[in-house]
Amino acid sequence: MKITEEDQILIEMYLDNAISPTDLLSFEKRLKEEEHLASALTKQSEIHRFLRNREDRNDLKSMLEKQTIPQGKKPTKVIPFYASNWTKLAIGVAAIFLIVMVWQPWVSPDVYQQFAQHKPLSLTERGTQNNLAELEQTFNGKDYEQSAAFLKIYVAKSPEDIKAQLYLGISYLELGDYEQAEILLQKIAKGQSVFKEEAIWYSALSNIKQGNNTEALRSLEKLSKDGPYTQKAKELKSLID
Amino acid sequence: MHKDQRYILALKNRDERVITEIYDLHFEKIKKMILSNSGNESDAKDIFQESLIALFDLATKKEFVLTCPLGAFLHRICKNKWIDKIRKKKVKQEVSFEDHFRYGGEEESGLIVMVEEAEKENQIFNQLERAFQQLSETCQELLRKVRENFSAQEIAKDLGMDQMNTFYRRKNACIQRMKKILETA
Repeated sequence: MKITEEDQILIEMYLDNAISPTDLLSFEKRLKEEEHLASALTKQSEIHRFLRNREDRNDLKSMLEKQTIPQGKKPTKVIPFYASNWTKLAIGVAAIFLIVMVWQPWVSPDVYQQFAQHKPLSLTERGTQNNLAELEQTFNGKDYEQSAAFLKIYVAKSPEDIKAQLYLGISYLELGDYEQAEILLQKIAKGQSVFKEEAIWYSALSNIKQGNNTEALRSLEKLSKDGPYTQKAKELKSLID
Repeated sequence: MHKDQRYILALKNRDERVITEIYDLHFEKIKKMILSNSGNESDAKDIFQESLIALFDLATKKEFVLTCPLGAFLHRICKNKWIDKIRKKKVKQEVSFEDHFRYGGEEESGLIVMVEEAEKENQIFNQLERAFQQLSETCQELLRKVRENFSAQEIAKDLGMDQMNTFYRRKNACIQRMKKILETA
């Protein structure tokens, strides 16, 4: 079946997250029922993804073309080293100490999971929309793909709702979309809302999840000394410092 | 998720420092592999660059997560790309590749799937780029504005279009033109 121009436009708007919540529901219903529409969406989403990333892709290409190629290491001259037994023992102890300090076997690989305990999302008290309960359920039920999609629409309609922005950031963080997460978290962290501390905390967790402990420590330093995250920050620091 | 996921973020953000780190860590091994299989340093540079772009293409998929070390991924994809190039050049020479990253079992098949997917995405993006180059200047200008992190409203406003409907009709016309070019290619 040939797809109409109206449907092509609807697909584009859907991919742009620019579709209204009412149209979204009916469009998603049609996607389940109309095979040709679903197939057109798959095809168009590839072009959509290409276009959204084309400029960045070209910038990366030019950057790689300018990249200086590392020169192979020259063989180094080996100087024989004669040491006494005591010196050898001291070197051994120092080496073990260094390995243990760098490796830090007591640091659990799931530090992020241990500390990323999210408070349940509750937007209902602030809004009047009926579908907010459904939105909250996606986040609280850990369906972060859906919660990110819903919150993105919600934030576009209610840009003043900082809490929704924070939870959108957390959803991105859970999905591993650090770039989007950082944009939102940094913005809130720099502001003066009641969610400032929470955004700094999550920014640190984002660094932890990416394996960047140095940056995480820097973020933790920005937390206030007797705020809601002081104790947690102390525990986290003791694991990564 | 493998800890090397941070390199994916660096590619997306074009983080020069971390990209240099990728070259420092992995380029020598790839160069050695290509030099010992009838290639030169310039071939190695091209193959390494193409492989990083393929990885970028794959990483544009929202659900993509790196599940193996970056070195293993690069070794495999560079090897495949070099074999393809040799075939195209019709160089009749025995090729032998040392496999430094053979895992076996599920991890190995996961790596193969990831590399195949990256090659597929790379091929599609390269075709789309060629189609884009054949569009009219007006279409190219409009579609160039479409970037990650920019809303349709912002782009329409930037193009001086008050009505979202006008913006979407024009955008759609350009996309359909692109599809036509792809079909006839």
